[in-house]
Amino acid sequence: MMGKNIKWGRPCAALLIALAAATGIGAQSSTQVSMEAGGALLDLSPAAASSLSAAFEKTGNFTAFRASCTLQGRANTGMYGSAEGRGEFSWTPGGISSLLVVEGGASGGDSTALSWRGSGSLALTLDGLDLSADFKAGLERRSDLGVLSTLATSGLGASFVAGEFLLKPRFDASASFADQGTTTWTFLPGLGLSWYPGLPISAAFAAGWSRAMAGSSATDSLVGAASLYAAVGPVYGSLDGSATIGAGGVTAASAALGLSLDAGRIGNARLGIPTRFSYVLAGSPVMSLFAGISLAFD
Amino acid sequence: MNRARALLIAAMLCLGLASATAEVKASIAEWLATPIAAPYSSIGAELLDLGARARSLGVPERLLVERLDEGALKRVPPQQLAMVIAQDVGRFATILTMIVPDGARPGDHAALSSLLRQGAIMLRAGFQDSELASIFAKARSEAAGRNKTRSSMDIAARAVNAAAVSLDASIRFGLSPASRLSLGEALAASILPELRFEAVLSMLTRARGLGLQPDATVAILANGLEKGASIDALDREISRRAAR
Repeated sequence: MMGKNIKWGRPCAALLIALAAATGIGAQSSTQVSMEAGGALLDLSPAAASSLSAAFEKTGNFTAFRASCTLQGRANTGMYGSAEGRGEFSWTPGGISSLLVVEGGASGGDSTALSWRGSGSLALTLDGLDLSADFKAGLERRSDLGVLSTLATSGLGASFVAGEFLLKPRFDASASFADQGTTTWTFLPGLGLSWYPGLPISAAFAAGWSRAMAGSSATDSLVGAASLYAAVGPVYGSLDGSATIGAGGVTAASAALGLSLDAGRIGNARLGIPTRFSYVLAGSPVMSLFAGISLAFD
Repeated sequence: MNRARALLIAAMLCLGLASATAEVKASIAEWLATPIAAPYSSIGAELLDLGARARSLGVPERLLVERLDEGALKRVPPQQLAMVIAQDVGRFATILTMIVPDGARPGDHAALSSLLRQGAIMLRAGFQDSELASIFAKARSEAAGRNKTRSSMDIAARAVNAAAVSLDASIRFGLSPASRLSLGEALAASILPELRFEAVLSMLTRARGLGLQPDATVAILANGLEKGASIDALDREISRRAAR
């Protein structure tokens, strides 16, 4: 599986290099390729997984072009793979910055129907030293296991610095139009928070209330996510959690604890030993433990 | 706490200079007359010459006396101590030319001594003269670019703080020398107030947790800081990059 992915990585990198040659924006450029491979140690079914990603960037004084692609593969009882690509163009003439994103991806496997998605979005941000505001709008066309739908999203947010904290109130609204005729509207007012204390530790939190309306029925839920990151010597730790709470209790939840050991450099690559324990509740709970080796090339 | 000051205090504690009872003599001549200097009588003339050279360059002699105290407490052999002091005179003189490129003598001797100490720690910790000079130049360009009236001491304090934070990040995250310099320059040239420089340590930690490599994160931060990005804008950029 891993070997296949590395072979897939060549056209991925070649595509990025071609994009690099085709664009003449700005004076700086950089590329980064990383790969990770490992095995799930604790799962309902043991699995081997690998991933490879490559990114290219070219920036000028007021413009930037970035492209990236990721290939992932997983094998347990059957084969499962996914591929994603993303292109970004940003323009920052002054106090206002704009970001255009086009992305797409597909996934599927031996026992899973092909799913795919393609989307485009535009974000405008008014930047200030301690206060900023942003507006986002996007359109996505997708197929989830053969079910076709179109998703329109929009969001309005602000963020401001308060001491060591960054507070981010925002309001998002989206509409999902299924080809079979069902339309679902979702409204999500919320508050995000990031903590930058000036130490090698950081935390983020976001929570909001969501109302999804389909026809005459409405479903209300509370959604929240929190994360904590810390670096102690060569070990990086992360703790992420999220939950969705509906009228009948918790409808979805996830938690992940990650520890990664920075094992030094091999040439121009950084060697890491990542481990992750994750718990996902979506219907029935699934726990998994991943251990692997990662190489990130500068 | 001011990062450079924290580093300085840590260094001083390690070197045994935190003794509250120790009184630093004002000149090398006075120091040589103290009991602690007895083992160093053989290099007395050499030390006096170095003191005279320091004075002629505008470097406060007391800084050398502090280093002599430190060396004597650590029982450094006389010839080695003389060599270290000679190197220090060079380092202090180098830092002084960065603080006041026009050769003017700052009036605030306490502040000058503090900056010289911190700058010398940066050089001893691994910064090259040219790298530190480049960070000083960025701090000067930041003041000029924003039409701010800043004294040479304020500009130097900004540069030393930027260097100290980038050095701290380099040690904690294993940055390449190029990334260390890039981060120091970007902080000095940024619109961030010095008290917020240390936020990049938290940002590097968060970015690492999100899967971004430290050197790649420094490239993102440096690019943003050089273009006037705020903490808010840097936070957004890291989130966006990690989402890919």
